[in-house]
Amino acid sequence: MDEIDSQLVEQAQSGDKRALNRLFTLWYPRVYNLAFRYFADPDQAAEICQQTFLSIHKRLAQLRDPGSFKGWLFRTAINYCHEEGRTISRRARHQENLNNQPANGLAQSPHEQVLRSERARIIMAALQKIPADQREVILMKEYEDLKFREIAEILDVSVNTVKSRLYYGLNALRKLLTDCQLLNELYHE
Amino acid sequence: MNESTRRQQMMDYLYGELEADERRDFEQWLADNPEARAELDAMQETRMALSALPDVKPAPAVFAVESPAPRSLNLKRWKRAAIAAAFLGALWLFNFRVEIQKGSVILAFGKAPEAVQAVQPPAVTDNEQWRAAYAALQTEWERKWKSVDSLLETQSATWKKQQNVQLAGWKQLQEKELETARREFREKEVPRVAYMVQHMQLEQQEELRVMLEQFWSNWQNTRQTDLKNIGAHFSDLYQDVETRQKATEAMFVSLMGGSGVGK
Repeated sequence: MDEIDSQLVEQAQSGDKRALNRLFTLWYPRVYNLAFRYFADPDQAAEICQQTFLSIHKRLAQLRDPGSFKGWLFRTAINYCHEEGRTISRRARHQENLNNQPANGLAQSPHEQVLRSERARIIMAALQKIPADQREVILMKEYEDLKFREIAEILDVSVNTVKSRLYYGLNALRKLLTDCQLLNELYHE
Repeated sequence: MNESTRRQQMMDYLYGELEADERRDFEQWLADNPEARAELDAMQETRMALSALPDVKPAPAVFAVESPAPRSLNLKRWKRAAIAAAFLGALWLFNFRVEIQKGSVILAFGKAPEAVQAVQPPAVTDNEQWRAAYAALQTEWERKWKSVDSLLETQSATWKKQQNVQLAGWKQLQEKELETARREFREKEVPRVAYMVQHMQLEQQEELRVMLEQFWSNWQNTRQTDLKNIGAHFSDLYQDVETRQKATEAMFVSLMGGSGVGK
């Protein structure tokens, strides 16, 4: 995957629009899901994606090492998430919306399907309740399967800090999910 | 092991980022620390819960940053050309002209005075003359309309031809891209799929071999158990027959002895 990325980045840097589109098509869903889980809001996720890929598009020529594209992309996306995350009231509104989601009823979009699923809804709500620095580490480790070293580079912190955030984040999530009795359900399935 | 090191190693272990020897050491340490083992199990359960959150598919419309569509699909260009042609046609239709008179530039519509004189019908005095004048004007308008029609037809044919050429180029480009994708698939995916199939076949062969060995072993065990049971049954039967025979003989001897006493 990294090799394909490097090739596509090199082609895109030399002006190949097809390579650029392919590169974005490959990575758009990953960035979208990261932002969606970060904010629990499809519109916010789409906005983060737009800002991220616009920024990447503008600065692609400045990327010296094509092999570092993945880290660069996630760093850009996480930075935009941080910026947007500072709007606390917006987060609170989303949280309120999330809590008011009906458990039953027909879903109209994939996002609604995810939120409508009771289990996914609880996990999303729990993710929103833990501190952002723990949440982003959990998202990058659990869903993007990045190495501790890669996450540390993206967030510009030490590897030990990443592991500590993950440790505390998982513990906090466990407490929240235990309150919802979700872990018991999963354990007995 | 201090608290911080324990946390770091626990995270490394949980996500499979420990080296083999470190992993062995940590597992030994875990075996002696049931509390840590319980904490690790709890974290594993939390991870399992997190895996219940599926990926969502974003709207595909926002994927393309710049459309690679060929120029033939650029409608704006055609619209601009059509508007320009219509504007020029209208100017020509209404006899737009630029006149320079006494050092001034005049933009004017309608026929120039000379032209008006050339096509101006003679002074009308009666109905016949009105009809002739009307017919002359009608002929002039028809000639102009035909010219406009002819111009539009020519322009339309040119556009259509250009569009066909560009469509052909676009199709060729699409076919080329398709062929490239096919070639990439053949070069990259087919060997991988072949390797996976081969691997699966070898696994299945191994499973079959193990299954047959187990079957043979079970069958042999069953056969030996059956033979032992049959042997035991025969032995019991023989002993039973022997016992009964002895009892019969004893009874017979007893009967014979009884009759002798009677005589």
